Amino acid sequence: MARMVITANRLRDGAVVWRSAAGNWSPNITTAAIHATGEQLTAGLAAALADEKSGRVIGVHEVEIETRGGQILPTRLRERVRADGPTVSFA
Amino acid sequence: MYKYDHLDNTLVRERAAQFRGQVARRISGELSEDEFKPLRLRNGLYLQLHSYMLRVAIPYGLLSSSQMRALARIARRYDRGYGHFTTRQNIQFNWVSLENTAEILDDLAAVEMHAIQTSGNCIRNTTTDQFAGVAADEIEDPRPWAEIIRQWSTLHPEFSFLPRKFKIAINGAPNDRAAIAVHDIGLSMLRGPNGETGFTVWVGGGLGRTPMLAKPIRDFLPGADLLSYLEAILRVFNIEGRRDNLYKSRIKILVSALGIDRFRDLVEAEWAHIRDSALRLEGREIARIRARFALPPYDANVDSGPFAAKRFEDAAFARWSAANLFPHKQPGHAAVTVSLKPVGGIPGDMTADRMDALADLADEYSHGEIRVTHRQNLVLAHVRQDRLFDLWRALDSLELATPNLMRVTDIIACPGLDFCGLATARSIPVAQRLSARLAEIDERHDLGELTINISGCINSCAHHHVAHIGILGLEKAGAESYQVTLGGSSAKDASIGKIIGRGFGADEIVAAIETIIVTWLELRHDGERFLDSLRRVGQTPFRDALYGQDSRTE
Repeated sequence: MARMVITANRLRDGAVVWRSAAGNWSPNITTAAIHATGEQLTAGLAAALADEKSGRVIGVHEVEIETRGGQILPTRLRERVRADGPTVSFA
Repeated sequence: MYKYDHLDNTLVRERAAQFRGQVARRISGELSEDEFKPLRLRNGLYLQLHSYMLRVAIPYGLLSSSQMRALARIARRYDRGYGHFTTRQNIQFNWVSLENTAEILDDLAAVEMHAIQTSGNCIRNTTTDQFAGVAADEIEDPRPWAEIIRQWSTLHPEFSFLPRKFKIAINGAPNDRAAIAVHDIGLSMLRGPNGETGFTVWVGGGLGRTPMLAKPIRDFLPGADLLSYLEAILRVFNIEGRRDNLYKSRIKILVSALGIDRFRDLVEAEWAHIRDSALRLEGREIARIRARFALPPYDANVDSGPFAAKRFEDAAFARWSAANLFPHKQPGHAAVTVSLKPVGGIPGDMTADRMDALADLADEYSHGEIRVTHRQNLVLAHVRQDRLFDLWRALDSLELATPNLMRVTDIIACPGLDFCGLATARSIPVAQRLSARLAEIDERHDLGELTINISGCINSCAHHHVAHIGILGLEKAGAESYQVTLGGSSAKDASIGKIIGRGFGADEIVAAIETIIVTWLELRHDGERFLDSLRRVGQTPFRDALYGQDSRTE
């Protein structure tokens, strides 16, 4: 299975957050727990969805990643933009 | 401009208070996201990639200077110091939090603004010509009619859960500057045989994955019957429109499936029941609304001499005057387009500091009024010609005087994958790179009127189908791919652009557009617009230049 991390947006301000092994939600993808098996991912998603139900986060979903030089990089551009912010400086 | 009465004021204040309670119940867990989402969307609050985004309604694009200052305060206090003007003549704040939204709605209500019906399956902000009321070619000012539609459609109970969103545009001049052909309903004003106000009604236009031009449903609708006829159309759509498939639920699909004649029969049958109801507009009521759009007092004796002299003396001013001024019905005046498209900049973005500065300029030069255009620019509509040079210098110092209205760097772009949760590719960086590259070519060759619109997904928020050159960003095999359409127009000669061929990668798209323009320059007749050349010669020369002649057999 491709390696996966779990992400969502924080309910109160919409910020992108990533779920750590300890079950915390952090804006920093480097803290995200990497799930290498289907069982790990299923368990992680179940816990994340419980956080969604309790109103901490919304839009829980898994994201395929690769690691390069210790960095976690989502494979899809959409998730890389979510992790790093807009690719343009605004206004 | 329109001033809120007691009813309007009560409505927006109560709405803000109501939303405050809904947010509190969401945060406490009393409401689930499924329950809350339709409520927040009704108040213009989306969840985008990085944050919540609040879309604020600017009815028919009209703002007072004090409203612009309020938007600047909101941008500073609750966002990151800027806002983004949209193709629906609205403004979006990209970085707001859920917890602050009710406060923002309070601040908006204090200046007679709101975010009602800027999202959701309801009737959205009615858009119109940015030169409404002042255009020299105008039949009648469409804004009072847009305001009548706003009052009728706001919280209309029957149309709160339509099959899909619904957009109306109204244009008051023979030249279409409101893109009525690509709206769910397009209204084009005209005079009846006895000089009375009426509308030609178009229905079933739209973009997205199934672009269609609107079809005429009624050649002449008397003004007094406007609301009953709109209600009849909406009622037929509400009952007959599909709700089983998101992509087939717009009215264009219904009109296409039934055929315009059958659809018209259903509407006329419905209309017969309600034409003489309370929806009939009394002359007194129309006059009451019209009075709120009285034009400011103009000086009838403006000396145009200094304007002509300055154009002669200053080439940069002359260039800006040629590109960004629009003929005014009042002699000695002009409507000025304030470009939000600096070369290499982000289309439609504006900092809070510039919003404040422009509000001051509106007070000084244009009777305190500002309009937002569907091309993501702003307009000062009442400027004396003898003060244009001073205004231009002030705008230039704010980097708001790019002379590019309807030119190749006046690019319309949606937020794209840098912000939007629906996007499949980025729009803004492509717009920036194109703008920087094409500005040089325009400088050398004077490309004239040439529109480029870039949408970051098939929902087509940037109206790429009706640009002379349209660009649609998709995701192909994990990478951005940009599909090019040629030959679109949203003006009186409306047409849907045709796909030229396979898409281009993010690192190829600027060169591809440059190839199209260079090819055109070789076959262009003197002074010809790109669109007219294309209609004359067809797509083949452009396809050959992009893909080689061998591709013809593919």
